[in-house]
Amino acid sequence: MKGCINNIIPFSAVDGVGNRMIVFFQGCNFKCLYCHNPETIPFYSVADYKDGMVMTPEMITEKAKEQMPFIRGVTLSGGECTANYDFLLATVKLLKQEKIHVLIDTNGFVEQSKLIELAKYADGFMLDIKAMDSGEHICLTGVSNDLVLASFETLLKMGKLTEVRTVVLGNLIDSRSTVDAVSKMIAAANPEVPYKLIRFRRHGVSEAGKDLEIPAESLIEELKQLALRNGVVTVITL
Amino acid sequence: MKGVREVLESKILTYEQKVLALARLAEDSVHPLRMSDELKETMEKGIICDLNEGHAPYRPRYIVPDYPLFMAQGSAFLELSPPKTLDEALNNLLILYKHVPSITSFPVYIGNLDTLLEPFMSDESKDYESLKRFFIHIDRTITDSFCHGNVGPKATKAGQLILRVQRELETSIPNLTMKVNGDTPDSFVIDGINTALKTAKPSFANDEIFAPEFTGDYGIVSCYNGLPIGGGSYTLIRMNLAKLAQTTKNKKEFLDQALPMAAKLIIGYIDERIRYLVEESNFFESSFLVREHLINKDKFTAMLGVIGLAEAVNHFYDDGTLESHFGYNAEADDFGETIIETLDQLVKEHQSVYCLGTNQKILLHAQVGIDTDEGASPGCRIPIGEEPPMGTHLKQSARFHKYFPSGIGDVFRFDETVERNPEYMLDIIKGGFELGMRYFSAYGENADVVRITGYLVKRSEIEKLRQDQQVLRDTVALGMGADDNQHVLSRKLRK
Repeated sequence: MKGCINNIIPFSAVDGVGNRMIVFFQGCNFKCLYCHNPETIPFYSVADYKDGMVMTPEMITEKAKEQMPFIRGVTLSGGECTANYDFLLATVKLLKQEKIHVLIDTNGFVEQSKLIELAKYADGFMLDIKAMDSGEHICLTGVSNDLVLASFETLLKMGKLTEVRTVVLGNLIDSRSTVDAVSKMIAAANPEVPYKLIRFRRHGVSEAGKDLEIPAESLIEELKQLALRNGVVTVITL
Repeated sequence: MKGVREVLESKILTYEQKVLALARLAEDSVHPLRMSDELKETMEKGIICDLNEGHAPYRPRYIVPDYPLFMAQGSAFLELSPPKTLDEALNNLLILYKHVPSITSFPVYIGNLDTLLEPFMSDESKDYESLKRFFIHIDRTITDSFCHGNVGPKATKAGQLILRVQRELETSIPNLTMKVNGDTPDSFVIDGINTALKTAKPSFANDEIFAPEFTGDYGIVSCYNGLPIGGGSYTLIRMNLAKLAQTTKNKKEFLDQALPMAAKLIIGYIDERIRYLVEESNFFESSFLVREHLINKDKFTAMLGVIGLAEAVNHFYDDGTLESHFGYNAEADDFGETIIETLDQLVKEHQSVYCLGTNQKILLHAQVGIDTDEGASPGCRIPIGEEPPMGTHLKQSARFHKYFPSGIGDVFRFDETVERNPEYMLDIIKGGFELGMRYFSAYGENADVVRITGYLVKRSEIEKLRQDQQVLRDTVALGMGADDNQHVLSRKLRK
């Protein structure tokens, strides 16, 4: 089995606690206006893929073993890695056979049966919740958030949610109501799940996101306090 | 060497720096050491270098006093009783520091400070203020960054407070090392990592490697030198492998002829310096540190330094591509290890009678270079500008660490994102230690205090000196030279 891998960063400080190897899968089912890596959005067939690497699960696992003993595990990201489900599942299984800690970084836009199967093997998931309002979500990503919210609940129930993230914007979406709702849901199910609020930045963003506004520092702090008040134990702001 | 009038009429040097420079000139006006013409010639070529140790060694280069003994007994000569409170303990230490000689005339080891001070801890906020004053006093009076304190491997309240003080003060002095072993809690190491990202210290020493080599009692001294407590090192003389390689035509000539010949000369010179120091200088007959058993001739050793391994290897392997170089080419790396293995063997075969602290063996040291070095990287390091990805770098480097009990290590510059994820560096340190790495240094990209090669300097002070302003600390000039000649401030950014 082969998959299209846009890039691998052997040592990463920004994809989970500790040092992790991060694998960026090619292809995403969202088209977020603020995407920082728009080159990872298009899907390619293995035969046509020129921009990155065509790899097998064995090759990814071998690359991870090369980074030992310096890494704590591997984070599978994208693009949207769950969009390449069969290849992702095979990779996760193989990494776990080698007793390597695996986190999946996902937008949650995946059938629940597939998510449950992945969660049997993966150690945890980092889930993006971009907007609670479905209309806003469609505006921002091009698709509805029904599946995302289902994934949120599924992962919370399974105890496999490692982190939830929301990118805070200065306009387009009501970040306040999204943070309010998400933090309440986290607090109700498991207040220990960290919630990360990421301040929108322009770096890497394509023409499509040119009208998006960077939120004030004060809004980030206000939303952090809101999430804490709602009962989330750890709120991280970036 | 500057002339006497040049020194005393200088507008840049402080009074203290002038007095020390004049003392060096006086020392160098005599020539009591027996040196062969062959040795002198090799030194003129820069293959062997005594690192400005002076012509007449009248004190050991590195002294590692037994501070716990000093705490227990006070000092008859200094008229100090054993301390009962933290302030008394700190005051006694500050007094003793001014009487610990070295090649720079400043103490290169100031104790395993946390375990030394833990018995005196009482009120946290008062203790913090006392420690803060103590560290300000050190930074402003021991004006030389080769002054080095240790903390760990046990986590203590005193250790935490000492690290907090460093984060608040952000001084370049003293240098600091945290000893780490399997029992050191992660939380203490992370405290150290957060401190290092802010102020380039502490570095991290693999206690599980150092402790057995020194039967438990060792200090990390000066840049990163492991040395026996209650002793130290008489001398450090270094060999420039890059320059030695340039005198040879092929690898065989280098290994079979040049290296053994240079080793013989350098070992002979080390022994001659020790002979003068021990037999003629009367240091051990005149120092109260000896009389009060804070140091003992039986615990001293000597160090043989190397620099320029990478360039020596590249002399034989460079074909114009990076892939042919040390750090990229497995065959070149193997040859590098063969060089060090051969030197290690030559050094171990030699019995140095006064090196009783290490079974009459001289220790190898990966020397970090001096400000004027060009074309020779510190010790066994991969040259700045050619650093490979971190994992490859660490694995390549770790294989050399076992040969250098008296010090080796790389310095890494980290991106600010690491500040939010100190566990990232924890994983790297633990991984390195698992592979046999004995020492690891890091600083954050935004820090004013940076590790030059082994010692620390503030970037803001280098800028002052570049504008011909006077600076308090003598090591700033060394940092400026090292940046001009070795581009140390341009290390690869790791993220």
